[in-house]
Amino acid sequence: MRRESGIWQLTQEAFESLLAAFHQDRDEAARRYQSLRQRLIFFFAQRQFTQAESLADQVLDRLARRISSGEQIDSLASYAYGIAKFVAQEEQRHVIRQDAASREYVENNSLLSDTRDDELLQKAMEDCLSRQSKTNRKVLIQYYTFRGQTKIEHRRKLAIQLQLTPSGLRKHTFHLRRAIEACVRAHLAKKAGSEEK
Amino acid sequence: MTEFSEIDLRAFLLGRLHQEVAVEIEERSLVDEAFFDEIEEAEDELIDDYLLGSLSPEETNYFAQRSRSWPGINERLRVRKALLGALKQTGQKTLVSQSARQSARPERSVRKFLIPVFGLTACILIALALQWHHHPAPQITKTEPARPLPHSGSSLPAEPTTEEALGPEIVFFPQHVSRGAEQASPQILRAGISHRATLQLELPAWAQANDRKWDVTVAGVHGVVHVERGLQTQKTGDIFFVATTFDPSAIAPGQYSVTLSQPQTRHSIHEWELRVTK
Repeated sequence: MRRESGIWQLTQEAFESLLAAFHQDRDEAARRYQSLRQRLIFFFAQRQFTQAESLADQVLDRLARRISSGEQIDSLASYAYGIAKFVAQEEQRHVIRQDAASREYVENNSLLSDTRDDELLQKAMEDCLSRQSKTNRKVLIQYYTFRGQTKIEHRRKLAIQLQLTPSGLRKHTFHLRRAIEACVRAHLAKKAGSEEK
Repeated sequence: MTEFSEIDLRAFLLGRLHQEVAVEIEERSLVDEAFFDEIEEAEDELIDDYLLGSLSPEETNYFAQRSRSWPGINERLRVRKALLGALKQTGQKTLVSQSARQSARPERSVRKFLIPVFGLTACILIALALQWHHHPAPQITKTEPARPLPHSGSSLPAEPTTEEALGPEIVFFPQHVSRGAEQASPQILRAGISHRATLQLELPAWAQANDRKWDVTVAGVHGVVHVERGLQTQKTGDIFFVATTFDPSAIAPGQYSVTLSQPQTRHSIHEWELRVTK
């Protein structure tokens, strides 16, 4: 553990203790760590903190500190929830100031900002869609064919046709959208990387 | 344990739920991974509805206000908008080509009918001409009745099976996501949705030559579950990748590593994390 100017900083040793507390298998521990971090980010974002990622890391740092100091913790996630609520309270008084400053940041924080980027995005999207099987594309197209009450009935029929439950269909399209959007981001990141060079 | 409906989750995301219930959902989203997945799905659907104009004016206001703090929301909205636009366009093209096919159908049916008629007539004429040549005297010839041509396929396709309908699960592994990286999150493969899964691994910039061959290994805590050697480089747009296909139902849910290596050296070029879920 290391202290500089009274602020505790995460050490490699403390981080290792935290990982070990998640699981004895390092890969599984890393997965659980990432998963909890995502959920903490969501917690803070849901409470309207715009620096959600930084606050989530603060919680994990404090959790690592407790563990490295020998505290016995039964459920890491429950314990993290307790810390998160405390961190949220601490940050509450900065909310208005942070919100005003970060709104500007959020609104401008996009790799895509002009018409040229729209073209890049469209091209990347077409390419990523074409990488999906024809039937996957068809499922997505059909999923978005109707709106309102007709949409619900149409999706129910589509689920039956695919031998899925309505919730199974929703999950399936959710994962398809995620895969396509991850592919698009990879395209854009690659493009941004090559332009930097 | 309280069950929450999709309506509850949407209300929670929009900040419209009673404080006590919201706190309950908040806590559960932190301690229960599966429940958090449900919230993520609800959030995703909410983004769709916002972009498709399916939210009420009141919900739209709540969404605009609440989503400001969601990390990367502007980018998510733009990418999703592009996806919806591309799907709409593809859908329209499909409809156009379908209607073109339908309008071409009667013509094809006429052609189907005319081909045997013309064929049969031509055969009779040739046979007559040959017989005339060898036997100048007119004779009566007996011809076989025309046989129907084999049917070239049913006009109505059979109902697809789930796998045919969904196709293989395709998981794309971009270069910028690697195992052990700070921001890395595993790529997720849902076993059970299809009997075939295709992993597409993006190649690093230096390795993008079409003549190279690649080995891909998928390994879990109990050892190697899938290996494919000598894979060729594929290219789509400006992305170079290798692809390997296997049956995901043959492997247990859990955490796996996907390694890309070169056959000559067997050195790992890149490693990704794969999470197989049910």
